[in-house]
Amino acid sequence: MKQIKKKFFSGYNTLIGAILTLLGFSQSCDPMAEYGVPSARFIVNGTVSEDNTEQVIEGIRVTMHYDTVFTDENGEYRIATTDWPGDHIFAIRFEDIDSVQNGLFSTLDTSAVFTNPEFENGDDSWYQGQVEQELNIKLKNRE
Amino acid sequence: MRDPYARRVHIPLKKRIALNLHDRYRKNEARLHRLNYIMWECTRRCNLNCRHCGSDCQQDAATPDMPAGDFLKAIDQVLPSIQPETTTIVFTGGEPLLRNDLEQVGLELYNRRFPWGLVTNGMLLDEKRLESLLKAGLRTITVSLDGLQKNHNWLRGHGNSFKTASHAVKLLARTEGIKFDVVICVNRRSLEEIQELRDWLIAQGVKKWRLFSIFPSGRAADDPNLSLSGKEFREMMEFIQSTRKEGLIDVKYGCEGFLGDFEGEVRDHFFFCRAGINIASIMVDGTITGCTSIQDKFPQGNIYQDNFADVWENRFEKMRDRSWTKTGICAECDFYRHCEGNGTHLWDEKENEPAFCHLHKLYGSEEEK
Repeated sequence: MKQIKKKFFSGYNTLIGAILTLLGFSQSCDPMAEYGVPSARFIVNGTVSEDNTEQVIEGIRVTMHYDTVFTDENGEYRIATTDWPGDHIFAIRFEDIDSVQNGLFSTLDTSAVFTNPEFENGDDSWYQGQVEQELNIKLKNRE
Repeated sequence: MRDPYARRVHIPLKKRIALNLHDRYRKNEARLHRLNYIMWECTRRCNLNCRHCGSDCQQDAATPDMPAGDFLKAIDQVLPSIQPETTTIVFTGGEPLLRNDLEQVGLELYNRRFPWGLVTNGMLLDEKRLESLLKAGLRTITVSLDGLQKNHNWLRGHGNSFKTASHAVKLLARTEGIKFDVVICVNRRSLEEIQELRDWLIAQGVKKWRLFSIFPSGRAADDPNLSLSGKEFREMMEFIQSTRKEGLIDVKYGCEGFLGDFEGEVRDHFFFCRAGINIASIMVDGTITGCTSIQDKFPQGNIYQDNFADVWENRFEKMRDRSWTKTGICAECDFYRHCEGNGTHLWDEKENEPAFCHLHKLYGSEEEK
């Protein structure tokens, strides 16, 4: 009975975490780092383009889990983080910080969900390898 | 009577929805009561004499250090019921690096698959000691730096403390594979140079920075000049907010206090005192409590009389159900459900209300502050 309750509340909080992420907020404290414990690399890549024209956008700031990258001239980004090898929901923010250069776009908060991830290229020791997923984004033009 | 601050706090609808969801999240976490962070006050000895010290530690502490074996015995009691890989153990003090056996304790924890770390003033952290700690599995480290040279030395009561702490910061910034941050207890003097300090940290390659305000505890209780005024406190919050927007350093406010419309803006998560819900501490005399900042308030047991696992499983009721905190200044507060009496370490048992209210500091009128 106790285990069922724990599973229920645990699942309930995972759901709340996912909704909070979609609202642009986080519920977790500073995450685990990997030094000296099992770890894995979680990578998200994709293209950022304009909602209507599908024109790719350069210079969009992408932040995930305390790391930051910018989209290149093809609108592409690749961002990664290291964490405990298990299920994760990482909040990702796409933000236009160069004002009207390349257009003016609304900020988008979304998330990358890793469920039962299959890791590759681990070292048979603490490091269990990496997993990658594609997340293409369309931003609304505010001009 | 309606809470007077409520009219001055304007939280957007989306954030209000998120805060209400987070209230439910907190309640669920209290029910789950999963231990994933253990703090060990491994010594009360210290090599500094800080004006703001929260632990009242001494350079020659009367309380002897806890023998490593006693601490590990307590850890072994709780080990079967937790997941060590996701439970961080942090050594605090006093100054942990005054102990010569940290590496042995760390290695024992590493062999049990615990990630472990420490909080230090940096006085004794040189290349050789860091290498030895890393070899023992050190995963995370926090260095206190309370300003640039003049102000850090003033607060720390030692003319050489900035030199050594800044050396430690530079050393850690160029060390691969360790998670490291710098913390500052902001006071009136350091607030004046906070932008300069930020630029200095960025120039050294520091990626993470946490700002705390000094709360009236330990030696700081007798020095009101260390505490920020309401205006200065807000200034600090606005500084954190704008620095986060710049994105050059991952800066955040410390763990305490419900911050009204600054929630979600100055740290990565909403306010949640996890003491006794996810965090347990073992003090130097064996006392088991929520977090080391709580000190001798709310003791839940003692490792010399109790089984640590039993204490975690069956006590900590006051921290898991905080309805008893709806009293004093909290009784009529419109935001009580998001805060529940502030951090446990700030609870004033004599007055039966928090010794420090962040909302009050941010939104009270100057007379009220």
